[in-house]
Amino acid sequence: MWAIEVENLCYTHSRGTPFEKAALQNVSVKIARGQTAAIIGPTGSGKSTLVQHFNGILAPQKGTVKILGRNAADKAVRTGLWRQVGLVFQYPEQQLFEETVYDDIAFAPKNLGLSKEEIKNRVYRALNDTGLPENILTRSPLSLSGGLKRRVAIAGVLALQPEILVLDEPTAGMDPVSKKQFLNTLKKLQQRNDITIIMVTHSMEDAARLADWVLVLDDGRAVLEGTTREVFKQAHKIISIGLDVPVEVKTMLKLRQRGIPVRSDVLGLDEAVKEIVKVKEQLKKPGG
Amino acid sequence: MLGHIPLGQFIPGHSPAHRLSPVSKIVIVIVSAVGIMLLPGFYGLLIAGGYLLLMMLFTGGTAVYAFKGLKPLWILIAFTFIFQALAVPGEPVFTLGAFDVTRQGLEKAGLMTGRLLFLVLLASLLTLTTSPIGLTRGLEKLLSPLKKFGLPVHELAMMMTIALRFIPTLINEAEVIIKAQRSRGSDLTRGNPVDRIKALIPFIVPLLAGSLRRAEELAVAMEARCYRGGNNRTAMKQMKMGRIDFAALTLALLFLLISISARLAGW
Ligand SMILES: Nc1ncnc2c1ncn2[C@@H]1O[C@H](COP(=O)(O)OP(=O)(O)OP(=O)(O)O)[C@@H](O)[C@H]1O
Ligand SMILES: [Mg+2]
Repeated sequence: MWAIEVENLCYTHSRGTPFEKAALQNVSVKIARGQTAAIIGPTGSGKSTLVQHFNGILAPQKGTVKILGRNAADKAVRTGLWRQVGLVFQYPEQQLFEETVYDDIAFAPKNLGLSKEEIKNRVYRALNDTGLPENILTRSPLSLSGGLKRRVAIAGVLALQPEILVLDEPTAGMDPVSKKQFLNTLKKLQQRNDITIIMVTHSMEDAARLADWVLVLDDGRAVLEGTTREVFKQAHKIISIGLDVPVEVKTMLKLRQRGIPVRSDVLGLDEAVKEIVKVKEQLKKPGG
Repeated sequence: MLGHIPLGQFIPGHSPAHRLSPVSKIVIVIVSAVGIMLLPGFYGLLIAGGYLLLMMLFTGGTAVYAFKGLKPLWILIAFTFIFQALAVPGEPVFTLGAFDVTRQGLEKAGLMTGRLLFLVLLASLLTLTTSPIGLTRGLEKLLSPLKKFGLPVHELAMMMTIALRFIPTLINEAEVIIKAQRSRGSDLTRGNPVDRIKALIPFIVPLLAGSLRRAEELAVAMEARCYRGGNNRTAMKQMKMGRIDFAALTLALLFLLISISARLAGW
């Protein structure tokens, strides 16, 4: 079953004014349940606009959007979608407002109308998932450092325990260590339950580490789509729209340029090393 | 959500109206507004309308947005008309419940609504074709003689510039925060009035926190660039009066002259 079905979606911001901007043009994409998908693209390519259709914040102007089988053209469906689809906005730290971290994380579960007990369970679980210490719960979210604020904000969405979790550039501006920690958090989440994760990112590296499925957007159009490996086969196309590919893919491309027949669709350093060793062995063999 | 164009939003362009110096545009608007108020009677309205139309021809199509921006104002305009139509005694045309609608009332209402409409259009022509920064610079220049009387003209203009500069930023930020809180299930349409007011907190607190942060950053940035108030500051873009400024000013004065004569002649 599909978590997300988007067909020929078009969206224009500020429609009917001199500032209008076509952010999405005929985008189609399907994401299966339980998968992890990455949406990548350069700045201004429409990534945020697309994912805001997934939880009913934006109404489709043209084309259809179906979330968990239900049509988002229906306003009643859209207003209820936040219960199943958690959306972490780009720079979510600006949404914090409560007096304590506990209350802020509890905000969404409270809106779900859960019992006090259940709310507490969810807050602690979200805290655990984001690797935050318990003593932070009584502090004011507005007084935290930027990195901690980000994690609290993400915990506030995780506490919804959504069926589909959408993250809009969650690692933007994170230092390498926090980034790695965070990606590991997502990995754990992926394994634990039947959750569908959709991550918007600039970075092919993050996509390679996490995603089963990749959609590449450029200037409001879907230019590439497929399993992560399939998309990586077309590394040159990704580079041509101005995105960076992981260093191991770059290395492989350079080797190919020098006439060494290695595959370029490697996911991660280990695979790259294996591939190079394999090709080296082959080349050593007489007649190889 | 907040995406529609508000009345009088600046729209960049290169039309003669855009190229006029803000100073002359402000003077023209004041002069023309006085003219519109003075012009008596139905013919006066016709002349004012023709004059406005002439102005709009020089805005390179931007004037269309002045009409689009009127939409939210129609209630006010309708209210003015109805109020005037009912309030004036005279020879009844028809009755509406307990009220007589009179010929004089209708005439007066028509005139008042016409003038109101024209004044709104006039003002929005100014803001449609003048950037907020240009507008404050123009005001600063016009008010600069008042410095002699101790009015901190430059500081006031600076405050206005900063406020205007941050309105779009704040609108964008508000839009994002509204979306983010709605994604966490915020609902302003639920519960009793107290609940509803409480439901505003998730929107207001982040917006306030954001503005304070921005204000602080801006203050630091200005200090780092050694900003220290109005004395002896020069502007990067000098506002010079050109030939079109004099032409436009002459036209506006001519219009004012006509209205004064019409009023004196008692049309
Ligand atoms: N509220 C808005 N009003 C007008 N135009 C907008 C609005 N939001 C986005 N846009 C425009 O739509 C286009 C797509 O924006 P979007 O935010 O979806 O891009 P993005 O891929 O998320 O970029 P980034 O990587 O910078 O976040 C951009 O050109 C942007 O300027
Ligand atoms: Mg974005």
